[in-house]
Amino acid sequence: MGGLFFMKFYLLLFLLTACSNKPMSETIESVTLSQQTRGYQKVITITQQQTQVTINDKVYTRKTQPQQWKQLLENLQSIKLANLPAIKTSIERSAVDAAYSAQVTVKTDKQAYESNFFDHTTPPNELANVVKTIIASAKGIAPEESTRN
Amino acid sequence: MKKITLPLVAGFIAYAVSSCFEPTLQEPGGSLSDHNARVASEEDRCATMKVWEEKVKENPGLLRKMQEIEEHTQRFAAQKGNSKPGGGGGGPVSTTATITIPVYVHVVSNVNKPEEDISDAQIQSQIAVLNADFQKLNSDASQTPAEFASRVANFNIQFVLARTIRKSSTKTQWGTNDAVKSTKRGGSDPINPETSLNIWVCNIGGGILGYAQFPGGSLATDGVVVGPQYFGSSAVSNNFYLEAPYDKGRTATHEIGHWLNLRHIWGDGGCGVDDFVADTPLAGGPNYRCPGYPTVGCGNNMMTMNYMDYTYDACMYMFTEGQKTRARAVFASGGPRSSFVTTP
Repeated sequence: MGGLFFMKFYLLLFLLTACSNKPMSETIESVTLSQQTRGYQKVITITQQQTQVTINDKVYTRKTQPQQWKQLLENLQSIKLANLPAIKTSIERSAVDAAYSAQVTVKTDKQAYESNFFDHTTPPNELANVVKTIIASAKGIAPEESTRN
Repeated sequence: MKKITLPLVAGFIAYAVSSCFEPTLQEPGGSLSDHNARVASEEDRCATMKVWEEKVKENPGLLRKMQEIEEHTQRFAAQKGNSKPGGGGGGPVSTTATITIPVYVHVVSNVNKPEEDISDAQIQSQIAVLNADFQKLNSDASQTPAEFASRVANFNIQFVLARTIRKSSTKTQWGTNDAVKSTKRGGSDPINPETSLNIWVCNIGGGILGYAQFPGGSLATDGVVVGPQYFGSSAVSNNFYLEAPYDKGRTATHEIGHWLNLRHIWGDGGCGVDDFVADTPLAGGPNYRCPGYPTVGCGNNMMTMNYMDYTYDACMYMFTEGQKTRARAVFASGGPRSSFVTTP
């Protein structure tokens, strides 16, 4: 009986300890902004090394500027990645095709986190700076603007 | 997808306005606001209802109207079958009677691009596509996989060209800010929007083929906008100003679907987001190009051939019975477009 009690006690202690552990740190590997509507898809993916812009099926790349990558990581510091899918977004315009449907995806060494879709014209406050930095980082990479598949 | 409850509808609308006043980025046109119809947890729903209540206080007219339209749609779906043309007290319109919709086409072309001033024949080819697609007369409907064949719907909606209005402009592209719908802003005012569909044909720009307005919005901007090179069908003539693979008239079919209160097939969200239609399978996002069958997502075969997906014109060829119910609710007594239907 006493043995069982101690076993339960240690099990409880173990669970409490496990729950109170801080989450393992994650390393951000890439950040992606996709913007799409019927007939048009633009995807910007930034890693520490490279910034890639895909417009429909055409791919353009450039070396990522260190300060832009730093800026992006700073922008992301204010966001808990696990909460990214819970951020409320606005899709009124893209729901009738009057804006691109946009989405931010952050890939870490552990997993990928996706935001809800949002109108490209109105990113949620929490993601506004991230989106601005991504767009600024990709400026000039693709000849603006090939729009056909 | 799943059936919805009214609290969830409220949630849908509440999300719709949760970021109405946020900063904007520049690109093609656009204004503010929106929705994300998530299948929310109870906690989420409570939060959602709070947001909803606050937003109703801020903008009671529009939001109440959206809520009313969803409630009306639910009632219509529940009563479907007890049909009587024109209905009464929020009742249904007949599921068999044809609804005839006069169409005003405003061709607003650039002075230096005569090709944008599309021909009468090209316009008629588009009207013919609409009449086929909304009456299940399109020959490609036969490609529907057996799994979905019993769900293919005849909306019993007929489109009749009332008049074409032609206007030239120095503007090269119009964006999505509705300027093309206003004579004062260089475009062309809608004609009889309370009883007619207005379609503006102009270069939108930014890669946008067309856009629409859901029922319940302002009559001054009611209708759809389509780029000239996506309006009409190359199946009628190779001489039309059209651009493949969006050259079969399905952009207008898709946009008029929105005008009839249909959402995108994926509900504009992930697998847990509803398009408010029970017989469309779940989808976690749009499909592009020309997907094969089956294309699996969200644990089921997706209906990539539905007009409300994002595939090529030749690869979309059906609406469902559930979408038909939702669209026809719009014309029932008490519905946002009931003025289009005269009660006998």
